[in-house]
Amino acid sequence: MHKKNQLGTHDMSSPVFGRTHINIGFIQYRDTLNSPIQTTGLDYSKCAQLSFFVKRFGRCKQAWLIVGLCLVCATQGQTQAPTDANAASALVGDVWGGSRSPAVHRLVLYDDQGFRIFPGVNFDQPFSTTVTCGQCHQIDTVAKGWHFTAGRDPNVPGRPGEPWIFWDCPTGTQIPLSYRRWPGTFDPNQVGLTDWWFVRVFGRQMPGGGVGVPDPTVPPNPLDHWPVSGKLEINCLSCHDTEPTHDQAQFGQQIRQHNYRWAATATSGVALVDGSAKDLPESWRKGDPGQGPSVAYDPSRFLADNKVLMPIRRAAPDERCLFCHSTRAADETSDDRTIDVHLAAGLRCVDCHRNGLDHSISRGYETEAKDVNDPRRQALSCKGCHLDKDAKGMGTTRLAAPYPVHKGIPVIHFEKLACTACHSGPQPGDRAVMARTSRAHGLGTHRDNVSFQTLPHVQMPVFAKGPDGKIAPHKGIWPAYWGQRTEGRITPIALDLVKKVAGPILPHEQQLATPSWPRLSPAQVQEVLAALTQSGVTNAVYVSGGKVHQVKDGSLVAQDDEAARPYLWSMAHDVRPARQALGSKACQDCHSMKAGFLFGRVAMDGPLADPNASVGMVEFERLEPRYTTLFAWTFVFRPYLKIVALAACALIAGVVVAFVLRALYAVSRSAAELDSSEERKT
Amino acid sequence: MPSFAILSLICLGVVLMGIGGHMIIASPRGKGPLWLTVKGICWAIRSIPSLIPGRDRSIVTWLARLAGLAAVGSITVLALTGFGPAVMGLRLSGYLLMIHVTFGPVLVVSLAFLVLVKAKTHALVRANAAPLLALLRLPVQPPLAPGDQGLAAKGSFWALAVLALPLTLSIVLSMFPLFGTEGQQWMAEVHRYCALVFSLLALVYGYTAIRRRVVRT
Repeated sequence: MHKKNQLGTHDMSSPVFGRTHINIGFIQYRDTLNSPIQTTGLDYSKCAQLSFFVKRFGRCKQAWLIVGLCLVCATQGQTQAPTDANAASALVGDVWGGSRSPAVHRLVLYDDQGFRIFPGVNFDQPFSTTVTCGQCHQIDTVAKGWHFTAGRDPNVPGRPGEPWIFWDCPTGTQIPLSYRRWPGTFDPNQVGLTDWWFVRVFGRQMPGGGVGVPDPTVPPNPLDHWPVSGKLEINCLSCHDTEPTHDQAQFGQQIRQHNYRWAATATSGVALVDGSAKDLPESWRKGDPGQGPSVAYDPSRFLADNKVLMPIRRAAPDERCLFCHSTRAADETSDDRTIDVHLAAGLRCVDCHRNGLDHSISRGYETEAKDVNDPRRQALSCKGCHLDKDAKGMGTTRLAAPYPVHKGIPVIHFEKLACTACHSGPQPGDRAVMARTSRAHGLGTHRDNVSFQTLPHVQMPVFAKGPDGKIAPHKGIWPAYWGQRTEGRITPIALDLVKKVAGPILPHEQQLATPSWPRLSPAQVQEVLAALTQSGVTNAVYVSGGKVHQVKDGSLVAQDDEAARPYLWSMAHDVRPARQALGSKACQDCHSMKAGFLFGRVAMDGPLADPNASVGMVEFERLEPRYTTLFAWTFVFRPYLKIVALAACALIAGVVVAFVLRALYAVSRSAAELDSSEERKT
Repeated sequence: MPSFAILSLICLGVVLMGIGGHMIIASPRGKGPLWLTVKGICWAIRSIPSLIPGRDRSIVTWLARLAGLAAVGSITVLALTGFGPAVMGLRLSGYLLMIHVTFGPVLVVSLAFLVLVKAKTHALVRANAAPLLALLRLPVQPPLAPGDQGLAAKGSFWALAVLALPLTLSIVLSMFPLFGTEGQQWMAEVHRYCALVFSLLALVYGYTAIRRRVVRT
């Protein structure tokens, strides 16, 4: 559908489209008839106008249209196909013509059925971004992007990243979820979250698409509400809209009301959405009695030609990225917050996190080029920009980024540490601090609880060895969940079952002062585990505070287990300037007993965790604690070592010079004696 | 195997073969290399009491002997911890690095003291240059004194003194914020190669010094 309508709605004023204007105008005029888009079964892809008209008006008028349109094409010398290598499939908006001036998006809005929206017609329907944007951009290709593949293609490679953290206070649950099969995360289905419910919980910070669009191959789940809520299709505006009235918080607001289909429209600033699909019966359809969501478009946004001017840019503005990718440390206030040095220098997020039409956004870590088998990604990492220089010391890569000299830093550091270890995140203190992130805490949404006690409890910076073997700063959570041990592996139990079985034993949500951990006693945990066992769960366990708790011989036993280890994900921002990097002042920034990098502690967290218990940073860094301590201790003596060694060198040099001078004197004297004796002879 | 490791092993082999050859060719009449080795060990054992301070010798003499022992010990430890991992293709790190760094100052301090004390006895005299003077048809006067260290010992002594400077400074200066990444790499290379030559010269000096004492006795 998108291919064959490709020229129908694009902006006429853009210089990219050349002589297609008149034809487009004609089509758009006819378009006001508002006929639904139909498929004739014929392939007219080589002539967009022809294809469009055939679909619009059916076979009966084909002959006349073919004649008419071919005449138009012949007289105006129009070419249809894009000129690049992907000409056969690319739509007009997918091919960059070369203009660096952004394309103006004066758009015809369509609903999800392909009907046009303008004052008086379809004015109660939300517009569909997939259909509207799909007129000029291949949404199928866009859907292959990193933001949309989770849940649909779990095999997309890449370093473990931030999970979706599912939490529930009364049951003491805080569990990292991901469709990407990252080690330490669980599939949402394992905790009883169907795709629909996953979107309901986390859609607030999703750009739509992926699991937001039901998989037609999967039979519908009766607990889902797809027929009423509609799809949460890819919302292009989430990233590309620069409209000042764009309200991304509305996205989550609408999702909470089960208004998936209306969410994008509500954020756009073009219309207001009121009402809720939440309480409607599953059988409810548009036109049925009952108050469903309603849309009120702002007529002033429609131009004389009934199009809407949408300030859409290819390069997503930073504030769009930051809605889902912000972090606040516990000790950070609005007036002392910092900014990434790259943003301060005038760069944008998308300058490094680039993508093509496939929206395969570069994540910027060092080994990404190898992971995704794309050598171009090499240039989009820290090293790619900063560690390349010509003979004159000038950067040779993108924007000739400053070349780091790293004076006085032994080379071994670059083999053992990621760039981010010294340059990114907050300065490490004696303890990792609590942090709030957009995706974990819904920052910027209307339901954001600003208390740092609110679950989930994210800590940072945790310096840990990453998958590439280098130490890097991470954020992390201690998982807490009810699970069962099967063949040595612990998997979570669906939360609904836990609530059903253990509800009377656990504290009620309303009894909790803050949405934080409940006060669970070992006896309560034992009671819940017994209840779970009675309900048919074998080998029931409770994971919390870095331990697995299990009933053995009638008593609760805490054990170490891989499943209880914290889930960590690397953090790269905010990047600090060189003068604020670790090691910029002295070696003791890291190699001292007070240095947070090596001797900071990470509090163990969870309902059963000892409030004073913590884990040393060296354990995450997989360093030997005794050696690290001893090595740090040697730095107390290092200044004296330098003085002694330099003094010894000065002494040796003095003696050598003295004897060299003496030798020179002896040679000179001998030469003089020889000379005088020769003279005497003559 | 890394090229430095190969080079180190080759150089060590050449020097050891040279010493062995010299022991065979230049051993005193009727006394083979085994005799020289046994005598050398005996001399070393007999020298142990001289490390205890006593009335019969000055504090400087005692300190010089102590410094000599410290220098020999530290060179041994440094060579083992430095070349051991290098020959095995490993990086010097962990406890080995800590031991290496600990014994480094011991060597440089003891060496400085030895240079200060022994410089006069190792000063080159005209007689040491006899072969050169003969080549130039110049008279060799006065003749070599009976207690003279010999050209090999004196030459290696001064080479060790000179080489100690880049060997030490290449590491000490890299601890200051003076050199960037390339500079650090270069300094590490300087340190490695200086250490190799220094160790070989120390072997030569040790051999000549022990041989002279054994033969004299």
